[in-house]
Amino acid sequence: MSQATLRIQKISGHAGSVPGEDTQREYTVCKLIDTTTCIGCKACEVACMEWNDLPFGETFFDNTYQTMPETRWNYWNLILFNEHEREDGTLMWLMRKNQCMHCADPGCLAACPADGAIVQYTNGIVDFQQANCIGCGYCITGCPFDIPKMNPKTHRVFKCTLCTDRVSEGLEPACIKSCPTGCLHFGSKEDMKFLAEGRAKQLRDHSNFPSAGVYDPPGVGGTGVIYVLHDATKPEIYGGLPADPSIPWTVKLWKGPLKWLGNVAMVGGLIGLFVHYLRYGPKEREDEDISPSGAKP
Amino acid sequence: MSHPEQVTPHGRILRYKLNERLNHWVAAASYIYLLLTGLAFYSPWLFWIAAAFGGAAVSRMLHPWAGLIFFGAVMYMYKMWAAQMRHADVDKAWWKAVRYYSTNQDDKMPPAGRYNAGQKFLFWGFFWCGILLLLSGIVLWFSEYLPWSLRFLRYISVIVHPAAALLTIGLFLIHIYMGVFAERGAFGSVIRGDVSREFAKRYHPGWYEEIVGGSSAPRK
Amino acid sequence: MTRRTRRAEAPRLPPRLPEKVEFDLTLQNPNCVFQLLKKHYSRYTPEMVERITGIPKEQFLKAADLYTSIRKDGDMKKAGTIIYAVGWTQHTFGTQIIRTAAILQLLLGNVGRAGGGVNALRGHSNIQGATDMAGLFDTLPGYLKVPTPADGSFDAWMKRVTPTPSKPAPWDSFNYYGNTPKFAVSFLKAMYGDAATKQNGWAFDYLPKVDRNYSWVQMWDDMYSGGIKGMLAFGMNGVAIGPNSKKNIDALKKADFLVVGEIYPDETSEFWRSPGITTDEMKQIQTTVYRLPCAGFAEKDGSFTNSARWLLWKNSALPTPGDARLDQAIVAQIFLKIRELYKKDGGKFPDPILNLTWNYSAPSSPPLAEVLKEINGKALADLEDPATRQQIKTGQQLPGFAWLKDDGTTSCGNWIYSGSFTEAGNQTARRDPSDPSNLGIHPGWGWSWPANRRVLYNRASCDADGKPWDPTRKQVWWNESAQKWVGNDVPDFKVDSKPKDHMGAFIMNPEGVGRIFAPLAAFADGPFPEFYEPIESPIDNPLHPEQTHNPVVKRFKTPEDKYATPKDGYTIVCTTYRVTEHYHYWTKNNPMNVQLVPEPFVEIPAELANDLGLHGGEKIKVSSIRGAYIAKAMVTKRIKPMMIDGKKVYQIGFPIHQGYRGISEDEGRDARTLANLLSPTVFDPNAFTPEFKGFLVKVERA
Repeated sequence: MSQATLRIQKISGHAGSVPGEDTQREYTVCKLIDTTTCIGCKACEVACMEWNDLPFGETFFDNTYQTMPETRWNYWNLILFNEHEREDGTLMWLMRKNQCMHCADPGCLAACPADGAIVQYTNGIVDFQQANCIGCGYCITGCPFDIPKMNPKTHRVFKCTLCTDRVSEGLEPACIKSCPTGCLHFGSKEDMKFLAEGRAKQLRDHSNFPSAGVYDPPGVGGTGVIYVLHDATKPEIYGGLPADPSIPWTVKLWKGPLKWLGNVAMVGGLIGLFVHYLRYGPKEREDEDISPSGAKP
Repeated sequence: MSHPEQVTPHGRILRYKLNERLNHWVAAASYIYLLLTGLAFYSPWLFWIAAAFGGAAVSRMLHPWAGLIFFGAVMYMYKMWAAQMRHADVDKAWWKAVRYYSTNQDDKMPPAGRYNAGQKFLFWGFFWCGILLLLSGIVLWFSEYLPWSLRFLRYISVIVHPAAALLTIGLFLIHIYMGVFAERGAFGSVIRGDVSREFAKRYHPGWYEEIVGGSSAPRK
Repeated sequence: MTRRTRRAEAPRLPPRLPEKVEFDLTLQNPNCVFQLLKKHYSRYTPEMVERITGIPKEQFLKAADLYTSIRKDGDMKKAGTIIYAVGWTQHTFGTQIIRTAAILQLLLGNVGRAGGGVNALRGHSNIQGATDMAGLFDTLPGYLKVPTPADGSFDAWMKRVTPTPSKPAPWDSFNYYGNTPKFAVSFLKAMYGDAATKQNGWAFDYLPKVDRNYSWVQMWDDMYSGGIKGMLAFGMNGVAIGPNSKKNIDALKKADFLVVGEIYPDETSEFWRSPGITTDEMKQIQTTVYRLPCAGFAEKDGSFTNSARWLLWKNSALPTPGDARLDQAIVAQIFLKIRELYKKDGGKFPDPILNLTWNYSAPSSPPLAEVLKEINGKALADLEDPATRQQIKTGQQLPGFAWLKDDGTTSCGNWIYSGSFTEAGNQTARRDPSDPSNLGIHPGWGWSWPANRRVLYNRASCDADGKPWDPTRKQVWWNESAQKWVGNDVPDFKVDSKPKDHMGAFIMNPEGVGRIFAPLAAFADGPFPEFYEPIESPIDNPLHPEQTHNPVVKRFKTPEDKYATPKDGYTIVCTTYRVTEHYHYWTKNNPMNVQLVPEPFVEIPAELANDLGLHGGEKIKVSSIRGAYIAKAMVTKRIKPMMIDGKKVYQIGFPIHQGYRGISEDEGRDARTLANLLSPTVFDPNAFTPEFKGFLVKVERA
């Protein structure tokens, strides 16, 4: 266990320093999703369910191949299907594997008030520790990708773990292993960026996708999950992928300036009142005769 | 005497009836619980408070319910006292003279009624902040049920809730200071309900005159 | 109940090929294949393509230019592949579609090339294994042709099915099927052991003589007419498969018995209470249904053969639950019991049963590794190869089919699998992933037939001098100093045939060349593919409106065999298919798959939905002249109306997976109809595959 805590570089709601900062030589891991070769077979959805022993939920037909409208507390990985008409009239059936993006600067972790409920490992994986979760849902507010989902009965939030249990044993995540087309890749962030940029260039040079590119949003410090998109200038067509995601500014304001202001005000106030009492003391003893000057009897 | 029933057998003045006192302590108890658990959620340095109160998840679960109780108590106060809390001319003058009040020169203060301007400020402060806390609190309580398209409500609430809470904390600090340390006798008024005539004469002369009667008290 | 049995059919005679053939390397002779090909397809203009398919001419030409661009300026380095599945084969002209692809690939020189070829994506993990091991009525293992009543003796049979070379005199021809007698004798020795002798024509009389078409659709029709009394259905949901599910259900009502071996109660085993059957009707059904609990795929070991012909051994992951049994245990139990009965009570001709070899260490549940050894074959006497002096002792596993003899000294259950389990062990269990040539050959991963060759006809990857067309991707080549063919892949050729001897690369054809022209009688329909419309089509065939359909397609004559025309009110083209989330009919019993696709649906174009006033999620009824399918509409922009021969034609489609038994079905969450209530009883005249992929329907609100 002690070695495990050395792998933590960020902890939510934590007073003081973090045990694992600067202790590990690990590189950040990265999952590369090439939407241009995804066939929407859902092997990755099944692999995630199976590996994590997630219980089944009820689904119903909703005029789409998409399994359900959005991820759930017990469904962490979902292919989003979108029919998109391009300007030239051709139709694209876009399929994007949706799950936690494992941001370098996670909004969920920033917003979380509970000590140790959300951690970020030195390899970049952002993990929910349900034992420490208090069920407040602030992480839902902090996340720009609408990922954390709460179990309504137990009030704990869940999301993709980037198979941290597999990765820490040197295995690739379950979804990567199950992908039959090889559109999912796993490795260091550096290697995956290299692969992704190469693929995007190939698309620009040889296919009818002049705007193909890599999605690795800087607004959250870059992500542990990156995409190759046919059209990187329009991420929204891929089921609402935000074009320039960042931690909501009100969350940053709340955890930053407002908190400092409040702390200063409260401590200052306490000190101020104590000093006032030392200086002026109470108004008067209760039983003293204190007819106000100028008051008529 | 206009309100002879408010003069107790010992010659003291009844300031707060039983229902008012009970409501005050319901409000106080719920507020203190909200304050402590709220501070725990607000600052990692104080997070241990929530753990001490039955566990952090329990605190998170109970905090909104305490909030409802507190809000109920505040609304009861509104029902009871709103009419007496209206801004009057004497309040304007009171604020102009507030430096005397804060340096304990109460004799220089214009005669306050049942509630002085400071207390009215506290009342309305808690009233409006209470509403803000309730509305933002409900959004935060059920944030997982709010759809993505309405997320702006969450973004607003995470600012409004702590900001309003900080304002009430400011009011609360002054309220405790005044009630426990600065004004001797004030604390008893919400326990036993009565205050001495001197207390009444000194701090709420207008109200004292009302109770005791007589037109000899100058009206300003 | 009267029983009607069909008359026997005369067997199709083999192609009559002349021993000597003329050739013209300039391709100018008006009777050469190339000129005949040009003449035949002169009618197939880009305008005609647009008229028939609805694909705009420019788009078709763009695709054609792109595909043929690999041979720009005569460049032979690149290869193009054609990969297909049942979208091509499930038609009454399916075989001819494949033929067309083969012709195209032969013309482009893509056959025998890594990254080339005509590649079928088979629809089940081991369907290739099933057909290799004679799951079809008209073949024996290794695709040997079955004997017919007209074959009076073993020799007569061999004469009919063994081709003789047919080639230009100066050219060599391997004509590898000339070795058919070696394969046949070795097969019969494997089947009947010592009971198969030269004197009795290798127990030729034991083999059933196939006198008529016993293919899938025909069998169900026979059952419907009372000619077939009963059925053993193992992992085969005949009622759901169809075509014309109602006819299949009604056929089962007339049968005496039905044995279903499955892992769950399927529609076939529940035919007697399918939707629409009243309690009175149920009482009248006299069919005895036996349900045998079988093992699931994770509980079985054995070999699977994939679309690339790789045999891959798998181990079982779990023991069978409860009373479920392995397939071989069930088959063994039935066989041993029947043999015992025949031993005790005798019978008309019990010899084939009594003399069938069954020499397994555990006869009641033969270990499949022993069966694979039997399939691989072994020496029944000491053997020696005169060329290499290599020796094999009696009882040893054979290294490959080159050792097979027609004199009874070898036994081999399936000649194309010979080499899969040698003295070195179970080759199909090898898992060496290395690919030294970087061509995706992986020679140590499993074992592919034939002889672990990964690309068939790979001699064609070289020019006439034996030099690879693409020097950066060398599959095989002629090694002048060693005077033999060598390579990164096993050469699919006579190893010492010098390039100057002009042996044809297509060693399995008596001509030695690829069959752009198929000799008469090789196919039931014709030597050159010709375009025909499906039996139910919205238009007349623009190429020849007086003969719209494949002229040799059989139509059935029972009251349930109806075929529609647009005049009957069925004007929308319907197709059926599968989704990745379900696997045929059994995954609707698995909560995971049902979660992914919980309900049946029909995909309809947005324009059609607009015309009919339908919305996504609304329940609709799709009917053919045979039956109705009820499911929710999926309104999509992905399917667009097409202009076919000047007419606006709509196409709809839906997955086949749901039926009347499963998680959703048992909960009453859907209408419990079967997709194949709609499909017609017609099939391809060569492969007998039914026409699931195109028929006429109408659509309305349910």
